[in-house]
Amino acid sequence: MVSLLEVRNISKHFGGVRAVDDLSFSVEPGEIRALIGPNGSGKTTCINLITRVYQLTGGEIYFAGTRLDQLARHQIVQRGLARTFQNLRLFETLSVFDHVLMGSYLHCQVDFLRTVLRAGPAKAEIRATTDTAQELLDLVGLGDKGHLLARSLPYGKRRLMEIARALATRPKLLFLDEPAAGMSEEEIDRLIDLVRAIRDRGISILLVEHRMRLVMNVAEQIVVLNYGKKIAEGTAQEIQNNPEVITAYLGKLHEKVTRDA
Amino acid sequence: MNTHRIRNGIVVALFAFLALVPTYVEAPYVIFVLNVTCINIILVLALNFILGYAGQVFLGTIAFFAVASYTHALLFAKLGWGFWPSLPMSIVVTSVLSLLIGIPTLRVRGAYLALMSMGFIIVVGDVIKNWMSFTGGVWGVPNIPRPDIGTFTLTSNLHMFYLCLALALALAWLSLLIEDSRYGRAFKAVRDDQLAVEMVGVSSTYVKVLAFVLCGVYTGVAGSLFASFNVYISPEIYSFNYNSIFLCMLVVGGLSSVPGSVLGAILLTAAIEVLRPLKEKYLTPLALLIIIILLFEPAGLVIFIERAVAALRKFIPGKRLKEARRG
Repeated sequence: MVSLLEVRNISKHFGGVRAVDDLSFSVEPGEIRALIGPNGSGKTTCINLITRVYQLTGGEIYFAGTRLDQLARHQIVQRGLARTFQNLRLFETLSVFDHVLMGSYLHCQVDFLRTVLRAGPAKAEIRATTDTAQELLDLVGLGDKGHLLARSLPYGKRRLMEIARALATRPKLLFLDEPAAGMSEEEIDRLIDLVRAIRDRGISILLVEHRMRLVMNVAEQIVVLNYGKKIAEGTAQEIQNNPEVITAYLGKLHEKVTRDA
Repeated sequence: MNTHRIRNGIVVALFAFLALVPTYVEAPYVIFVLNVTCINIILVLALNFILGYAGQVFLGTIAFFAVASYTHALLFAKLGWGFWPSLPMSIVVTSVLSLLIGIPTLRVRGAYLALMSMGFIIVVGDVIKNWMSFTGGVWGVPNIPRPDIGTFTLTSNLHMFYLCLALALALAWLSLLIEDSRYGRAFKAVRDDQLAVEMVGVSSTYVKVLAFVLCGVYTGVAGSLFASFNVYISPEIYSFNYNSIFLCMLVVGGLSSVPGSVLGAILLTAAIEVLRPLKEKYLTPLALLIIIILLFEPAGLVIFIERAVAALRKFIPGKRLKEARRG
């Protein structure tokens, strides 16, 4: 079976800092894989490399068999890879509904004049994108918030809106960059259901997350990073018992003692 | 929905006001200024695409305006093409030029783009001044005919005004349609966050170039109308000062707002006439006005009208009832 996403030996150096160092992993079709690690271990950098926000220092990335690291950002999304952002990237002046409609822009086919004049096939297209946007907002639980300005939403709901916007691009693979940040425990419960619902639509997910309750509940495979390198890979059970992972997160006893002294 | 209706209503009201002026004031001077107002409205709407909706600091629209005027003047006065064939031709030339300029320049942002656009004005101005055999140099192009409709020639400024008004209204309406389409949404999204636009699979350069070409199309119409209306064009008309005036109109009226663009063009065209005794210092009060508006109401003067209309609507009981029923 061909992996949906295959990352081969990628590196990113910022000056002398090796933020990501010779990292390889893959995401299979229909799976939820998580990328975890302590702060500064290179998780977000890794996502930024795959989506071309940063340039690779070295390595190759393949998506559904085609090479990704030569394409422009928008072309990657057109191939079926969408993402959300750790620090949220909103359109300040657009409504929640418009954000999701913006996500379906790339699938609109009708030419400029007919779209603007709402003539011929444009009507059907506008109705279809509007219906999809409403359906996606219902899915993430913002069905009644469409008319609001995005910036008027509370933090956790903005994250959900970003997910709806990303889903509107009809991805095969969705990157969720810390979706649970700023969410309450009940919101995380709903997020767990949402992540599973998205996967059940046939969309694979790569999840970067700090909140272990979310990771351990949904991820089938977990990749652990530390200092830009992969230190472990496996199921939730395997990761929880891996001594290297425990060290990376908690430190060794003697290290802690020397640091305190 | 409600805010859309208020917005469209203000546009219609402003144009209705312009259309009614000649019935009450017949002074030839006022009719002349009304023509200029309509042409300015089209120019401000053009600038609104790139500076308002798409938020790119491109300040070189006067150069497009000059190119459009000259294309029209040369085709019409020298080759005898007639108004209606020359108009689309100057639109095509201006929009192709905007495409050629837009693709390289829109890769840079902010102050760099502003600087490049200034350079563009100087280049176009110098070409016009020095290409004597083609443009007539500093002497300009005289004897540009007025447009004709069938066998009727619009020799009077009043008739010319109705043509300018009709075209300005049509273009304002088109602007509203574009604003409400996915293109308008994409322009605003690019202004707010280019990276996020790319991350929904849309090329931000494509969106910006589209805004740019629309700007070219609108200035093309304005340039044609101006050349025929003024009968004579010369390089000094297309000055930095005139360029700053469109900018003032857009900011004072309301950035990325069609009623704002129309309002700004009407108010400032009138204000400039009132300020004529100040001679070349007439820009000083306008600069002050811009500073005051940016400090206190960056959304422009149109926001006051919108608020007033929204407040007035609350006093109409029938409407309120209908809205309550609609939920």
